Amino acid sequence: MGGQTRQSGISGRVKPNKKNPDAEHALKVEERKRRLEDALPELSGVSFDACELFDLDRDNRACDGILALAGGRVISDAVFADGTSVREVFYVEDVAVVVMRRDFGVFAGEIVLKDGRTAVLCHTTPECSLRVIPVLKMLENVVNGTGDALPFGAAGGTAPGGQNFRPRKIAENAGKTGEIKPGDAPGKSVAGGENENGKKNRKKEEQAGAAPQPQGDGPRICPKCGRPIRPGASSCSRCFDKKKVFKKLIELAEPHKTAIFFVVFFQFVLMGISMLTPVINRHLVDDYVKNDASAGLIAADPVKVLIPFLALILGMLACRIANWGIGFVRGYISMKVGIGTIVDIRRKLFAKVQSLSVSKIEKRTTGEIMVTISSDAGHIQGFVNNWLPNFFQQIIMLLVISIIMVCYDWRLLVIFALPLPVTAAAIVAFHKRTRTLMGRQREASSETTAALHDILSGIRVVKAYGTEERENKRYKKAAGRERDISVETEILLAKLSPFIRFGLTVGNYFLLYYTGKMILNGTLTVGQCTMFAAYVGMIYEPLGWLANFPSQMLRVLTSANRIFDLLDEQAESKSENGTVRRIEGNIKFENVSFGYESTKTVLKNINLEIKPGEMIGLVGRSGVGKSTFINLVMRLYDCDSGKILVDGEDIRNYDTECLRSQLGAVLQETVLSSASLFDNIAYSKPGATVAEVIECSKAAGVHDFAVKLPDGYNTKIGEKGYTLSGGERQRVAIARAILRDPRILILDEATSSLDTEMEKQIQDAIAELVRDRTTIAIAHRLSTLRNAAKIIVLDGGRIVEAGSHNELMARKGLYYELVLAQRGGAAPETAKQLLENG
Amino acid sequence: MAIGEIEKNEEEYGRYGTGLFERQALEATRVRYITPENASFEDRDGCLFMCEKGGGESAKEQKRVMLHLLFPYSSRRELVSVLNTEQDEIGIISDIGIFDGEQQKALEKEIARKYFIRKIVKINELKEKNGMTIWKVTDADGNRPEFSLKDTYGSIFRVTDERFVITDADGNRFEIEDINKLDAKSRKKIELYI
Repeated sequence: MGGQTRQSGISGRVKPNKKNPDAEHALKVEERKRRLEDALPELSGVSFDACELFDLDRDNRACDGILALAGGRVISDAVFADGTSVREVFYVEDVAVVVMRRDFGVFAGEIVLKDGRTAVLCHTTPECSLRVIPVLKMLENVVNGTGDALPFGAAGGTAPGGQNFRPRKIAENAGKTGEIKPGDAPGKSVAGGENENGKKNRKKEEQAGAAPQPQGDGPRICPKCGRPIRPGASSCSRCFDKKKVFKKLIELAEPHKTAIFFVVFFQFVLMGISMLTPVINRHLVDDYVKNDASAGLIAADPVKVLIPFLALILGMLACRIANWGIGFVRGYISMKVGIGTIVDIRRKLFAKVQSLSVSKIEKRTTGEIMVTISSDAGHIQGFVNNWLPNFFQQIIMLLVISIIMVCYDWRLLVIFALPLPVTAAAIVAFHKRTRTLMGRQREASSETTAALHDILSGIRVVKAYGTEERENKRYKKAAGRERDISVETEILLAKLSPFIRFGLTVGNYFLLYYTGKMILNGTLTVGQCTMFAAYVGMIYEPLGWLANFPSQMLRVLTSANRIFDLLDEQAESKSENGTVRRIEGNIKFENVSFGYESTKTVLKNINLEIKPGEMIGLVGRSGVGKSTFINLVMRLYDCDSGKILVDGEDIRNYDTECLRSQLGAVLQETVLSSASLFDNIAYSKPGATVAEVIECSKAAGVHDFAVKLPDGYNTKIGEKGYTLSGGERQRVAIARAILRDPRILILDEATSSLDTEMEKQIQDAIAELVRDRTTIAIAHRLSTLRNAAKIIVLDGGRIVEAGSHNELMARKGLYYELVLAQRGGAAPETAKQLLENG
Repeated sequence: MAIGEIEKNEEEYGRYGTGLFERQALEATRVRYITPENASFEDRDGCLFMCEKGGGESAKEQKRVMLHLLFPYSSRRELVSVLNTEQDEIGIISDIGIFDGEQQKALEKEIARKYFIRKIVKINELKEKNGMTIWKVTDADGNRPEFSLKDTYGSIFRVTDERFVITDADGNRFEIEDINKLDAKSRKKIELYI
């Protein structure tokens, strides 16, 4: 190889070998590797652990790239058609996590360093990704400590200058190629862009043992199997750490260990009883049925013979009764434990979902969360209820029967077990296929539930647009997919089961032949043969159970993995001592930028100060970020860069409970629960007195319709109750806000559903409400903002205008245009008139 | 202060303007409590009349009023809304106990008349027919009324875990004060619907 001419530049100079593309590719890799070695002298003599070509750079420009693992480093080198290149070298020990994901077919390999920075190693086209993934997988194995360590400092791998030379990054021709600076790294929290708090949180997560979450929001790829990882999941549903999940599952059953112990104990007792029965049978057959001597004895002394006979019969009866009684007690305890477990899990899951931030909840669909809480928790119940106690029983039963058979004649067991290895091999061979099908079945089931939830929650829209047929088809498609996969699974199991059953039972025929021969030879009695036959019959149960064990266990572990994924999510920060600090209401935005997706920034570099007790109005066209602005104030999301200060303190340092307890919001959509009108209003202030609720209701205009309801404030509203109109719902929301008495008030289109007369009335209530409170109001109807001290006009995610109504009108900018548009194009006569007319 | 009279607090109104509309609007957002100091009640020919105290001559005129319990399931004596014949609220009585004997009786009578409710002590028969349920019950007075529910599930209101209020097809109300106190057979009959 060394004698070959070294080439440079974009690939394609190697002679094409259409007959053997792999060989051609290998040549290309070798060629590229040599060029990399030339460029990095410190790599000369270092053996490459892995290397592969990639074809796109981080901006998806075509390039001739190589990704290599060598000398304890990961090297990404891209050469472009114009001769420029970008090269990055990182020490593997500095890598915290490897991220693989696909975005519209383009595969991306990225790394998150231990200091929080992120970097793109490569982008590839789909074809090329298949080759690159193993290299990244290898890197990930090393990073996770699950693979062989790369030879750090192997033969000449030590960088020049020894410890002083630790190139975090080497960029050749940085000036002309556009060096990838730390701040250029992709994802939301790029190096330099990530704030201190974010780093702190990540550090906390790392300390808690959680793998640092990759940055960005694109689909993630499983490094082991290359399949996409479900959003919200920490690992691939197929490749998750089953041992870890099993350990957690056992921990989950820990509170019920006493009960489980009793269940296992009773199982053993039942097993003992069932093993006693064949012995009694044997005596009955040998001593009374087949024994000619007993016939003579009965004739001579019937009592002497009948008493033991009756004792055996009574013994059998006692066994049956004990079997029934103990079985009942075992079933009762088992059921109690199972129900206790499922309730515990569901309660924990629900509490966890409540404690998560909105952004974390939004990673999963509602249907998915519902499936986790209902079906997955049900599988765990089955595990604690049946599988765990049965596991011990079946294993012990298998052992005990084997020992009994060995004790009588070891050849019996050998003969019986002869075909078992073949059956076991068949089960293992089919296991992979059944596992895949069961995984698909579970996913299809989740999708069907999610589809059903979507359709039902949007049933009004479906009816309004008359799209019932379309939704029927949609649901039919989802349900049909589930059905097809279920049928496929069942067909496979139906094909497999007779074979397994035959494999398990074929030994029985050998055994019958052998025992028959022994009877004829007189070395075995008929009673003993009956007993063995009974034991052989009994041994099928644990064998059958064990044959099903892997697939059933996988089902349980997959469900458990989903449950633990949710339970292990980090909850929103809570104050340790539970003290609530009073907020004065000063809000300051400092260079705040935010986007729901890393590529789409909604708010850009917002700088704004709202003084305590001041009311500001947010104005702008739809989609400019008004609601996002208030979402950040409510800390439903954290900003990507910059910071929001409340009373001079970073909002992220606040206990969310403390912060939100002093926030009140009237949002565009009022969500009411299926409870009484009183309960719905008092929702914002648990423990509110009746008088307080009535006063707030009166102020918000709720009282007017409450006195017309037959059951007054006891009227049940919501589902299956009295249905409130849009205006009435909004009044309830305003009443809630008044009752809460917040320091910071958020009004997001608070009066949009009210008629003009009611709005004018409510405006006074709102004016009273906003007094001495920091208020942020959004309104398209500009009259709502008549009390605002300052109006902020947003456009394209930036603040374009700010000032009082008169100032903004005089400026004749965007606000002026909005006002004109609202008035139907007519020029305003006076500012006052404008405000009054809205 | 007479009921309906706007409190003239210029300092307060000054913030939002002093126009009549603003004043009326602000007034509309305030709860007015009716007390023995500002009103009296009288039962005349089975109807309840209220007379405002203080204010001008017009205020002294007796008005026919109706009572509406704001929390009919929680309290039958407290937080009673007093409505005029147009069903507009005049004010709220925090507790009818604050009025003297005769007035209190008049108020109680009006409430008892409007919120008459039978207390069910036994369910003798409950059968479904044409989508309706026919109930034959025994009430606390020993009567055996019979009623039907159109929407059985929707007509049974759970006030507390034990207490239920049933509204029949004609709007009559029946109450089960404590479901646990019903006999086993009655409980079994109603169990399906609660």
